[in-house]
Amino acid sequence: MKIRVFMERENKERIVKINGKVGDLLQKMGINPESVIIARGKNLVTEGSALKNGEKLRIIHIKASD
Amino acid sequence: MACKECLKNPVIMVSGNRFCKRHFIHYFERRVLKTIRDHKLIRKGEKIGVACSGGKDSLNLLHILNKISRGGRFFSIVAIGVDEGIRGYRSRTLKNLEGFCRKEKTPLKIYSFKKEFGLTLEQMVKKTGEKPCSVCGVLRRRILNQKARKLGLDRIAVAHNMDDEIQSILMNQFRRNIRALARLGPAPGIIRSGKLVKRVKPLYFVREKESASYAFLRGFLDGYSECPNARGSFRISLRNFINNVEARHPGIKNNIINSFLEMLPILRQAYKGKGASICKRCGEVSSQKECRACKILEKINLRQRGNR
Repeated sequence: MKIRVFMERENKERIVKINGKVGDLLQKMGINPESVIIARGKNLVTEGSALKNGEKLRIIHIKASD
Repeated sequence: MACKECLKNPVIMVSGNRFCKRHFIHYFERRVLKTIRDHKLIRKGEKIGVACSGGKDSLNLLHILNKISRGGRFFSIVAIGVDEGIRGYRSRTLKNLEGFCRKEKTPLKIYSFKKEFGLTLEQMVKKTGEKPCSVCGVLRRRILNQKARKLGLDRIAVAHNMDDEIQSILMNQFRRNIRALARLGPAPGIIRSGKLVKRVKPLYFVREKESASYAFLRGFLDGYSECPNARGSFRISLRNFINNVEARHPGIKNNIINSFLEMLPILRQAYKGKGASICKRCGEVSSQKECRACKILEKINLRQRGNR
């Protein structure tokens, strides 16, 4: 399965070949799920959500603010 | 697995419970309201200043407090922004804040380091050699407290979330500053004085990830950036460390906060009133004879005089 992953922090898109769930994708990319939120369109998905072939996900790193 | 309240797809998992967008927004707002009620953070008829940077946490807080205040019928709100003069960063977040306050019909007051102290944060750091976060934190608190007094505010609500608090707890422990630990909590402070406007933390029990998720789902997250001074700071190192442990052992953040809250009454009792003094220079409340703000400002003036 091919997933298009847009990394908001780097402003770059990557294609990742993976089967499984969003959590597996994060693990493959070496990203801590506690430090990001993952958007599918205008909604968010959890690490337990199943990946869909050809879909585009947006990974948004959570930044400190007050 | 679906939302715990309905059959919709979940957007987040909180303490083992999955929530869809609608139920997460409801959960998040209820959590903040519960914190305010349980810890008596705000009382009816009070005038509340909301310390705002224009980042996700302060916009979330401002929005929820506006909702709870029911258009000012329960309590009134004024947003307070501080412009430290961090180039390429603060002007953007304050512009965001101005637009947000217009939309929310909330009065906004912005104060600047330049106008209050004569120099921007960058200029101060250059002159003193101090770490930017130390100078910024001390002088921001000074401005917030003095202006809150001037505006006749009863409380200052700050948007510190659970992750911020955990970082502060560990920073003080790692630096063996136990007295500073006693000053933390949802309604921080151990000194009672008419000169200190009480600070409250309504986002105390929400994780940073929950706050970011709420901001995203509400449409508040667009175009915000991180302070350039945060990179490489002790706080950020601790944040990454705690996030790594939380990912491997879910629940440790809640455990740190809850065990700290069990210890807090003992700490407060031990340090109650201890070290409370009046700064000999400015007359503000301080834990030492001369407050940190005056020490920083004196350093700048001395260097400035020396440069002339």
